[in-house]
Amino acid sequence: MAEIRLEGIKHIYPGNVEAIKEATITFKDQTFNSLLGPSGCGKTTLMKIIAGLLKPTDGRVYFDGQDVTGKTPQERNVAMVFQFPVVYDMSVYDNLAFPLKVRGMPKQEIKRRVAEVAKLLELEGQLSLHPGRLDSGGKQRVAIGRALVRTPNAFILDEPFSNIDPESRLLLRSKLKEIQKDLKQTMVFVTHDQAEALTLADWIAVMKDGRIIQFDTPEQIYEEPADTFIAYFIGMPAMNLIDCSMVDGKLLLGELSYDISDMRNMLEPYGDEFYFGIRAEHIEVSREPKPEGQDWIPMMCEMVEGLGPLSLLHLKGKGLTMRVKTRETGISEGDTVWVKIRRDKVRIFKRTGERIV
Amino acid sequence: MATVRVENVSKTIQDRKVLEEVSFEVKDRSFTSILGPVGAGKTTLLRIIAGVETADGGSIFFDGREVTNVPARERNVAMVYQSFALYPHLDVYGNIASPLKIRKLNSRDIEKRVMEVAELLRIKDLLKRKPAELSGGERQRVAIARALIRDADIYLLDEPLTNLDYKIREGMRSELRRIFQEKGGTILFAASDPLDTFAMAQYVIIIHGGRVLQTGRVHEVYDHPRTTIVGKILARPPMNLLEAELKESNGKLFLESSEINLDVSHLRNILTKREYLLGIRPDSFFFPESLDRGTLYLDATVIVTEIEGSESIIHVDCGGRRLITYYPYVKRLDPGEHVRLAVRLGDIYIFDKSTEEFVTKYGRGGEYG
Repeated sequence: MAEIRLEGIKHIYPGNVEAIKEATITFKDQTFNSLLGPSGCGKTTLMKIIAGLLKPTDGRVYFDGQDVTGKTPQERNVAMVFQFPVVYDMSVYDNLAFPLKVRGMPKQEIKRRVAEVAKLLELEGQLSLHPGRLDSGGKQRVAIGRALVRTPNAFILDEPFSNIDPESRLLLRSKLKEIQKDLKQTMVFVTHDQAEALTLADWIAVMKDGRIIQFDTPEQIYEEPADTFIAYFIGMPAMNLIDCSMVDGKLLLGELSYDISDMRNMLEPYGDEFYFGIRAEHIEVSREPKPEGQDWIPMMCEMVEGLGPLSLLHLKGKGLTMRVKTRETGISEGDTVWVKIRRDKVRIFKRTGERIV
Repeated sequence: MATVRVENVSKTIQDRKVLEEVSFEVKDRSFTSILGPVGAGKTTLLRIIAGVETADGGSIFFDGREVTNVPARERNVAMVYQSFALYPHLDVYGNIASPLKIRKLNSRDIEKRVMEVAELLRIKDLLKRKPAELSGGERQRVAIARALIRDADIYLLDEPLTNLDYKIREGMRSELRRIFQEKGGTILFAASDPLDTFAMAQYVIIIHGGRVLQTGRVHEVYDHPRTTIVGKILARPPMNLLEAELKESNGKLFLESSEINLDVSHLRNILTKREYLLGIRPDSFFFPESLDRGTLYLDATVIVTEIEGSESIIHVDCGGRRLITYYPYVKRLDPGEHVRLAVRLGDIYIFDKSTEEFVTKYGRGGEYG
C-alpha cells in the first residue's frame, strides 16, 4: 500500500481545454478517499493521472515519496475497477486467479488467495460459473475481486456502482467498505453521487471547475462546507443561504438583526455583504407562540413537503424565506410557526462563495 | 371540474395479469399519487385512463360520466410520459405548441398560450433550443408545458421525477406543486419513490401486483397501513418486520422471537393466533440515553451506513436479522460497531403473519383492530 501525493498537477487537453487547473493533494496510506463532483469537474482526468493512464501537462505524482509521474499503471501497481464491469471469458475462479497466474505465483498460493477474496465478496458458491451467468452486481464483484487479489499499491474505482441495480449496489457498498477496513487498501473512488461519497469515503475531495475545493471528512464536508457550491450540492435540501449585510457590528437579514460582535473582526476584511447559511435541520420549530425577539421568529408556512418521517416546511416572513425540517405533524399551509436558528450552526460565506465562519 | 372514477378495471398483456379489478376514485382538483414498485401496473393504468389503451373489463368515469369507450382525443386528458417524449427536430417552442397546431388554432393564439405556459414553467429563455441542447430538468419542464398548454381537466404524469438527478428533483417537487396549484385541474401521477408521494400528493393509491391495496390521505395511509406490503411501500425506508410467536408464561402473554420478548397481556382479547409480525418503522429507532419503561431495547452490529441527502440509513444485524434504522441527520457508524437501539412500545405495529394484515398497534390495543 502507498501514500499518493499529487503536486501542482495541471492538465490541458488538445484544443486548449483546461481540465485540471491546479491540484495538490495527499491521499494517506490505507485510507478510503473519494473524488466527488458534477460532470465536467475534472475528476476523471485526475483519476487517470493518479492511475498512470494519462501524463499530466504539469506537476508530479508520488507514490510513497517516489516520483512515478512517467510510469505506467503496471509499474505503479495500481488496480482499477470501472463503471462497466470487465470480466474475462473464463470461470469466476480463473478470473480471480488471472493476475496471480500472470505473476507466476505457485498454484497452492493462488488457491489460497482466491479463496480469501471469494469469501470476502461472497463469491464462494459461484467460482465454477461463467461470469456471464451473474447479474451486473455479481460481475462487478468479480472485477473488484480480480483487482483485490494481488495487493496493489493503490486501488482506483471509477463510478463502479452507477450501472448496478439498487439492491446489489447496497450489498456492494457494504462489502467494499468492509474490505477496505480489512485489507487497508489506499482507495480512490471517483463518483458524481454525493450519497455514495458520504456513505463510503473517510476523506472526500470535492472538485469543481478543475480544482479541488475541499478535502475533508464527510462530516466536515456536510457541516463545514468550504463554499456555497458545496453547501448547495451536499445535503437534501441544500443549505439555506440568505443575503445579509453587516452594519455597526450587527448582521441584518431581512427584518432581522443579529448581534455578531464576536465575529466582527473576522468578517470586516471581506466587506459588508455576505451569505448567511443554516441547514434545514438546524432550525427549531414550534407551533406554540413564542415571545418574539432575537431568538424566536414568527413565520408563515407556504408549503409543507412531506419527507416520510419528517416534513420540510417552506417558510416566509420577516423579509426572508427558508426551508426547515421538523418532526412536528399537523402544520398546514397558511399556519404561523415560530422558529429559532441554532446560533452555533450558522455559517457565513463571502459573496464570492468562500466560507468565513 | 373533473373527478375520476375507475371501476373494476382489469387488463392482461401477454398472459400476464397487469391489472386486476382495480377500483378507486380521484377527487376533483386533487394531487393524487399512484404508488407502487416497478411492474405494479401504474403506467398501464394511466394509459387506460388517458384512453390510449383499452381495458379488458371495467369502466372509467369522468365527473360521473362514463368515458370507457370515448377516444383519447375527446377525453380532455393530458399525459406526460416518463421519457418526456419530445420531438427532437422541433425547438422548445414547436414542442410546446404542437398540441395546439394539431387542433389548428391560429398562430397568434398559439403564441399567446405558449408564452403563458413558458412563463409558468420558467422556460422563456429556452424557446429556441432543441431538446438535445437541454438538461434533463429542462426537458421535463418542456414536457409539462406541452401537457399544460391544452387546458385539460385531468393531468396524468408517469413518474415525473424518476429520470432527473437528485438536486433537480429536490427543486421540482415543490415546483410541480406550485405549477399545478396555479393552473388548477386534477392531477394523478405515478411514482415508485415514496418520497415523491410524500412531498407532492394529498391522496395516495397503493398498487402492487396489479391490485389496489389501500387508498386514502397520504398521512392516514402512512399511520395506518392495512397490510405489511403497504407498510413497506409507503415508507422511507421500508418498515422492518420481525417474526414473533405468541407464548403464555406465568399467567402473562408474550410475543417472542430470538431477540425480543414483548409482554402483550393487555392485548389478550385481540391476539388469538400463534404467529405474528412486529412492524417497526426505521425512524422509530433511536439511541437511548437511559433505560426507560415502555421502551424496547435491541443490541445490534452495524452492517453499513448509507447517507442520503441529509439523512442516515444504518443497516444493522440483530441476532442474525437485518434491520434498517433511520436518522434525520448525518451520522456515520462503521461496519462492525456495536450499538444499542431503542423503540417506544407505542410505535410497534402488530400484523397477522399468515394474512399479513394489520391487527393492532402495541400501545393502543384495539383502537384500530
